[in-house]
Amino acid sequence: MSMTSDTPDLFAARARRDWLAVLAHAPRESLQRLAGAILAQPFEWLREPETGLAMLRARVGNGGDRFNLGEATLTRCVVRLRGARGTVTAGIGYVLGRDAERAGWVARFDALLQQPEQHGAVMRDVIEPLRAATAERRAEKQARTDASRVRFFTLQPEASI
Amino acid sequence: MSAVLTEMTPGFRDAVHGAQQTFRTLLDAMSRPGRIEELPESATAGIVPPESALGGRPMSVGTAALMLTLLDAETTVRVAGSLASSAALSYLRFHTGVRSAWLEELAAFTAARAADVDTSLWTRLDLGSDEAPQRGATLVVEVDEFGAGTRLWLRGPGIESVQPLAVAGLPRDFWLWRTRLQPLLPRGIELVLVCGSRIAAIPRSTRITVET
Repeated sequence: MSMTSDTPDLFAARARRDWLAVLAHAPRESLQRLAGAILAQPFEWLREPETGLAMLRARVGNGGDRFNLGEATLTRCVVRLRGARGTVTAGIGYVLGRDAERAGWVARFDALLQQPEQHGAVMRDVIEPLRAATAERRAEKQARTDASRVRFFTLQPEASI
Repeated sequence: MSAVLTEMTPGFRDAVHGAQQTFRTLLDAMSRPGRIEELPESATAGIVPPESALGGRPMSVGTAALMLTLLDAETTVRVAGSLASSAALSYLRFHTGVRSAWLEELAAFTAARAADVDTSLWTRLDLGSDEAPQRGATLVVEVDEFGAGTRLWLRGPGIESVQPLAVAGLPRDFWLWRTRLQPLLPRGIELVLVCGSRIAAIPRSTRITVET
C-alpha cells in the first residue's frame, strides 16, 4: 500500500490535487518533452485512455444557484507503477479534450509523484517548471487583457436613512 | 481510493473486443438454452478476477468476463455470499461504473456461487411485472460442474425438441422454484450458469423438467 491510510491524509490529498491541476493545465509540448525521460519505467494500464463527456456546473453570478453550463469532452486513464522498492502506486490522468497521450503522461507523472523516492525529483524537474510556465502564460494573458479594460464609474446611490 | 487502485486487478485486455466476444458467446448461449458455450480465450485473456471474501478463491474468469460485459453505470448489481468482497465490488465499480443495489430486490444482476444460492436469495430476485417484464433480474451462478448433478430436460424457444443439461451444485429446491415460474411468463428471471470459462444459459422462456 502506498502513502494512504485509513484516515485520509488531507495534506497529501491537497498536494496531489495541486500537482494534478498543474499537470492538467500543462501544454502538450512541455508534457511530451518531460515525459520522454520516464516512459521506460514499468507502468501498466489499469484503465486505458477513454474519452467521454462531463457536465460542467457553475453558479449564477459565481455564488447563486447551480446551473449546467454545458458538457465538456474529457479523457481519463489510470496507470499503475511498481516502484524500485516495491511500492505500488496508481496514477490518474484527467485532461480536457481527446488527447489520450496527454492523459497518459499526466497519469504516469501522478504515479511517480506518489513514489516516495521519486517524489522530490519529479516535483523539482517537472511540476515546478510547469507551474512557473503556466503562471507566466496566465500573467501575460492577463496583462494583455488588462490593457483594454474599461471602467464604468457610476454614482453610488445615497444611503437611505 | 488510492489504496483501492493500487490493488486493483486488470479487466479485459482489449475492452471493446473482449466485451463484444463475451456478449456474442452469451447471446449464443441464450439463444440455444442449455447448450454449453466456451468463452473465447482471446476475450478472457488478461482478466485477473478479484479475490472473493477473505482467503477464498477468486471469482471465476467467466463470471468476471460476464460482469464486465453486462454491467454499466445504468445497471445495479448484487454480489452475494462468498463471492462478495470489497475487492469484488470495487473491481466491478472501477471497470464498469456499476452501482451496488441498495435493496437486494432491486438488483438487475445478481452474481453468486451455487453453494450460496438459497431460498432467501432467489425469493428476492425481481421477476419484473406484466407491464415491464424487461425488469426481470439476471442471475449469474458459478456452478461446480456441468455434466453431473441434477439432470434437467429443457424445452422451449431455441430448442428443437429437448435439450438435456446436468448441473452440479445448485440445490434441487432452486430448480423446483424455477419450474414454478414458468406459468408467470413474461415475468421471470434469466439464468446464466458459469463453470470456469464455460457458460450455459436458461432464459425465462425455457421450460424445465427436473429428472426425479
